[in-house]
Amino acid sequence: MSGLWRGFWAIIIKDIVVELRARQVLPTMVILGMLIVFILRMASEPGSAGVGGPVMGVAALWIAFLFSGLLAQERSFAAEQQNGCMDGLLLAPLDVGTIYLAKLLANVIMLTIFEAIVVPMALIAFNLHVTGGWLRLAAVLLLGNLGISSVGTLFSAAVQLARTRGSLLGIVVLVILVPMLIPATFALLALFGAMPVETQDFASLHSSGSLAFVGSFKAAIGYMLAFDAVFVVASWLLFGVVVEE
Amino acid sequence: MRRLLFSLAIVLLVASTWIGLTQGQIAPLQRNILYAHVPNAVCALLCFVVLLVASAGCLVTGRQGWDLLAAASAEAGFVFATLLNATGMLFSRAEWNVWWTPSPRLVTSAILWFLYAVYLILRVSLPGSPYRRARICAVFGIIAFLDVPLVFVSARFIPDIHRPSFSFDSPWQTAAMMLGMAGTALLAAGLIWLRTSLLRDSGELERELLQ
Amino acid sequence: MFYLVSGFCVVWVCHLSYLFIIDRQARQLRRRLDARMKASPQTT
Repeated sequence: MSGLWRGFWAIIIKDIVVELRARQVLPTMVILGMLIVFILRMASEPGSAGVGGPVMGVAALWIAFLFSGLLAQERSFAAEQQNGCMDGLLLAPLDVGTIYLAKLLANVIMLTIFEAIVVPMALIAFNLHVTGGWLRLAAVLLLGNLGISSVGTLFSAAVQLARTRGSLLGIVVLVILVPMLIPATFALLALFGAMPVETQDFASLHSSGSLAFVGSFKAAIGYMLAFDAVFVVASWLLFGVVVEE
Repeated sequence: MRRLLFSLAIVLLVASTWIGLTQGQIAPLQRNILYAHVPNAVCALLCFVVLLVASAGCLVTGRQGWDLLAAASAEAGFVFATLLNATGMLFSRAEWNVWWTPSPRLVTSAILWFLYAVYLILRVSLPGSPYRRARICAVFGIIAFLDVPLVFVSARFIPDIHRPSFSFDSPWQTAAMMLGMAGTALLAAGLIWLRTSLLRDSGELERELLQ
Repeated sequence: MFYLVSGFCVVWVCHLSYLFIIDRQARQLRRRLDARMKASPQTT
C-alpha cells in the first residue's frame, strides 16, 4: 500500500516540478483566463447595471475556468507522449487508477492556483461583492474545479494522438459538464448577491428558465457534490480502458 | 425481412398521422405536431439506452459487434434527437412565440443532441486502431449516459411551464399517439439494424481490400 | 398551420432521406462484396 502511496505522490510532484521549471502552461492559463474575463467585461458593458454585472461576471468566471482548465488537462498527458513516458508510467508497479488520481490532483492544484489569481481579477472587473462569504465561494470553486478536472483528465489521455486534439478534448469535456454549470452558476450568483442565498423567490432575476430552480444554495452545493462524486468515481474506474494500447 | 419492418413502420406512421390529423385532432391546430414530436423524443432516448448497452457490451466482451451497434444507434439517435429539437422548436414557436427557452426538458433535449453529436465526432476523429477507438467511444458512451440523469435532476425543481398537460381526450388520440410511437420505434429498430449490417459489410470489405 | 405542416414535412423528409441514403449504401456495398466473392472464390 505504501508503494502505491509513494507512486501517487511521485507523479504529482513530478508534474508540479516540471511545470515549475518549464513555466509554460500555468502562465498561459492565467493569461487566457484574464483575457476571457476582460473580453467579456468589454462585451457586456451596456448591460452592466444592476443585476447584469453579476450575471456576466459569473458567466465569465465559468467560461474562463472551463477553457483554462482544458489547457491544464491537455498538458497533463501531452508531455507524456514524448520519450515514451506514458509507457514508463504504465510499466511502473502502479495501479492505473492511482495514475488517474495523481493526474487528477495535479490538475486540481493547477486549476486552484489559476483560480487564486483570476477570481480576484474577475471580482474587480465586474465589481462583484462576495456577500455570501469567502468560505462558500472557495467551496463552490473547489467543487467546480474537481468536476472540470475529473472529466478532463480522463479524456485528455484518450484524445492524445488525434489531430484536432485540443478542440476534441474541448467538445467532449464541455458537453459532459453542461449539467454541472446550471447549479454552479446558481451558486455563484447567489454568492455575489444577485439572488438571495436561501430563498425560493427568483423573480428578481427575470428568468423562467433553468436557473429559477435549484431551490437553495445548499441544494446547488449538494448537486455539485453529487456530480463530482459520480464523475470522479466513473472516470477512475474507466481510466484503465483509455490508456491501454 | 428488413423491408417488411420498414414497410410496417411507414404504414404505422402514416396511419398515426392520418388518424391524428383527422379523427384525433387536438384543439389548436399547431399542437398536432405533438404526434410527430413525442415518438421522436421517446426514440431518441431509447437509442441512447441502446448506445449504453452496446458500449457496456463492447467494454466487457471486446467483440466488434457491440461497437458497430453503438455506432449505428448513435447515428440513428442523432437523427431522432435532431428531429426532437426541431419539432420542439416549431411547437414552441407556434405555442408560445419563442423558438427556444432554457426550460428543463428543452435543456435535456439539447444536451441529448450534443451528446450524440460529440459521440459521432469522437468516432470520426480518434486515430489509432479501430479497437482502441471502439473502447474510447464506449467509455464516452457510458459517461454520457451517466450525464443524462444528472441533467434531469439538475432541472428537476423547475415548475415546468413549458409543457402542456396533454391528456388524451378521445381514444382516437391515444390510438394516433400509440401508432406513432410504435411506428417510430420500428423505424428506429430498422435503421439501427440496417446501419449495423452496413458497418459490418464495409468493415469486411476493407479487410478484403487490405488482403 | 404553417408550423404544423413544416413540422411533419421535416420529420418525414429526415426519416426517409436517412433511410434511403443508408439503404443505397448498403445495396452498393452488397453488390461490391458479392462481386469480389464471385471474382476470387478462394479468398473468404
